[in-house]
Amino acid sequence: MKQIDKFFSKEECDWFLWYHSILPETRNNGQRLLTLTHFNQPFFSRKLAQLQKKLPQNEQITTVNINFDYSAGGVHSDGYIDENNNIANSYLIPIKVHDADAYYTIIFKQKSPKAVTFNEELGLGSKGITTYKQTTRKEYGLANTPFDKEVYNKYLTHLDYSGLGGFTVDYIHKWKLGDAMIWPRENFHVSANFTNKDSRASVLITTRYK
Amino acid sequence: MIELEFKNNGSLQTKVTCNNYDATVEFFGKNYVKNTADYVIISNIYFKDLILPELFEFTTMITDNKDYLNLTNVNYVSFNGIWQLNFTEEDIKLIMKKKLT
Repeated sequence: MKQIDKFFSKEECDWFLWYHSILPETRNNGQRLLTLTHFNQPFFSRKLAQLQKKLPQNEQITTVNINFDYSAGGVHSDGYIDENNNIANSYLIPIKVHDADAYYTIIFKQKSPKAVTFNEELGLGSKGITTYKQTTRKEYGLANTPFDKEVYNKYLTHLDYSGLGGFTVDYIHKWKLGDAMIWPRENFHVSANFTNKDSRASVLITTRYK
Repeated sequence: MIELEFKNNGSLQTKVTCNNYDATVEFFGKNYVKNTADYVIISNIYFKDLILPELFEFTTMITDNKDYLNLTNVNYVSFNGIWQLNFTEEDIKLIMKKKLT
């Protein structure tokens, strides 16, 4: 399963944009404005039940974040932070897009069950995900095989080419409003570069197996 | 959109009108001689699918009992009368701020 069409209706996309507007705190991580939805709070219980119903019965929601990206990020996995708790899948659902732009998320074949990022290795420094451990190609044991130049030129020019050596593409998701893009949390993935920097927003749901 | 949940213990009847930022409930039909103990509890207020009991602070009620003619912060109703809720988007932001910070 790589995607669920119409995971959110237009009204549901707008609901999350509205919900973001009433929350008191948004974090800026240098690449995006990230809003925690507080999905485990009692006031969110009806919405959580609605979200849970959209997912496979053997998966339980562990994260629901709203992201307003103003810059493309680096390669990372959405694995576990402290303890492996049967990580399952990531669901990325665009809730706002710019008609004149095209957005992609690239999924790699390489995996890490622990949440790690290559941001520094790829020239992004400390921007982006701050709670994930920074790793390197050497530490991870990536081969020196040159990365696909065509994919790089089309999608990933915001990253240092040499830092992508050894990665191989599994799947390229194209963003569509309301459709859920799905991949195993342990798979490394990255946002493709995009033009209109304040033009997109998404909901990220991560799950664990029950 | 506002949604209200009720637990009705008795003969009180309700006519509910909900708009974007206000709601009115008319409570009627209680006979104070025959049904003394009847009451209704408004058990939940939903605003756009969020459960926000703090919105009771934005409620008023006018009853037909001269000793309790005007009430505020009402979730327990034992008189005939008009219950009203009124708030703004700014009120919602303040409620969320209080909840989360």
